[in-house]
Amino acid sequence: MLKHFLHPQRSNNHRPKLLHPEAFFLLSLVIGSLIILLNALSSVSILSHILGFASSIAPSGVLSQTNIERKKLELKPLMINHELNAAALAKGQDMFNDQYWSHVAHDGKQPWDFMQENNYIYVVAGENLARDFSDTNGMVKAWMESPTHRANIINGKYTETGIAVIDGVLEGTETTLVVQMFGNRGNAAQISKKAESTTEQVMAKENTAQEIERKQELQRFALDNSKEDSSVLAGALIPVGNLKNSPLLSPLQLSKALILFVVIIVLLTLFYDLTVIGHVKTMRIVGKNLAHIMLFILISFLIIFFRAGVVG
Amino acid sequence: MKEEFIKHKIAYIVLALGLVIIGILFFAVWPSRDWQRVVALVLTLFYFLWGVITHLKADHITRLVIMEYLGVAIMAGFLLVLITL
Repeated sequence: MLKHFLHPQRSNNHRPKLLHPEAFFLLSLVIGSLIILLNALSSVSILSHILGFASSIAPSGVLSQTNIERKKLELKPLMINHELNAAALAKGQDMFNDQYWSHVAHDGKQPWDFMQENNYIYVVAGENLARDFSDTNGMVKAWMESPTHRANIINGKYTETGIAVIDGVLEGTETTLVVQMFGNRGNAAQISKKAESTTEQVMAKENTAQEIERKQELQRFALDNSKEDSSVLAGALIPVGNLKNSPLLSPLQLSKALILFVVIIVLLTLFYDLTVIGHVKTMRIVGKNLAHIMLFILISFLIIFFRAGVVG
Repeated sequence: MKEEFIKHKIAYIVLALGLVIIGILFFAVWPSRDWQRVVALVLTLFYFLWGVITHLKADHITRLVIMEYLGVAIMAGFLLVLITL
């Protein structure tokens, strides 16, 4: 039986059954079904500790990588903004809740709506999305290779950013979503500065009870703000890579292994067939396999070096 | 294998060049998975057409040859599409 599949002989018309056209169609169908099944299984909670998506992405890493890219162009580093962080987190949760992967939600909600809902009043704003990346370097590299995402990262108009790294199941696949929002409050910041300087002038008087009360209020505000700033990154969820029970294999790794296994079997059969046919005098209608070998070597190469991740 | 290559030197050079260009394109369009799927489709069409045209020129074209190149081309393109899912 195995010989019929792998060895050229009379029963298979002197061509291994594995290299017959119907075998190629059948193999494609089987691999396709298995990969779709693997992706579906990765979202089943019982198997999520074995088959799942493991990511080491952390908001602090995204911020530092973003600022490294900006520094290369002598741009000012972006500062973390609490409201933008909250907006990014809300956007990420909304994508998981409504199962979409886009800058615009199913109900037409824009990134700017999330910013406004979280009291971030901007002059200019932008958003970068990424999913399925296992590390920060690869993700930021992908953004830098995409002109629109690159334009956001190196936009000199932006002064602040908010980052959310969220794990969940999107369209049946367990993944890590990264939402990075950019903004500049511009006039809003100027108004705030003016208010601060006015308050300082008022405080200088320090006479009336009203002024003392105002000073206390400002101190409370400053204290709250410093607490918020320190909790910004910690509040942006724990990446799967840092969890104790991180998945052993990702669906992509398994898909790669499965495809490579099949391609290698086909390649070996092609080489074997070429060798056997070269040593016996058999007339065959089909070719000498060289072209197929070249094609499958390319496919192996592309599969091995395929990089994960999607940016949006 | 060597004899086969020398006999159809130009055809194999065209094939090798095409495959290298498509391979480079596949990585060049990253991280856009949509474009990677387009490249996979281009690879399928290129390989199938190359097979048919080469065998047509050599006057070796048969239904079996067409089916074999169609099968291999579809499988190669499909595997690349699957990895981008």
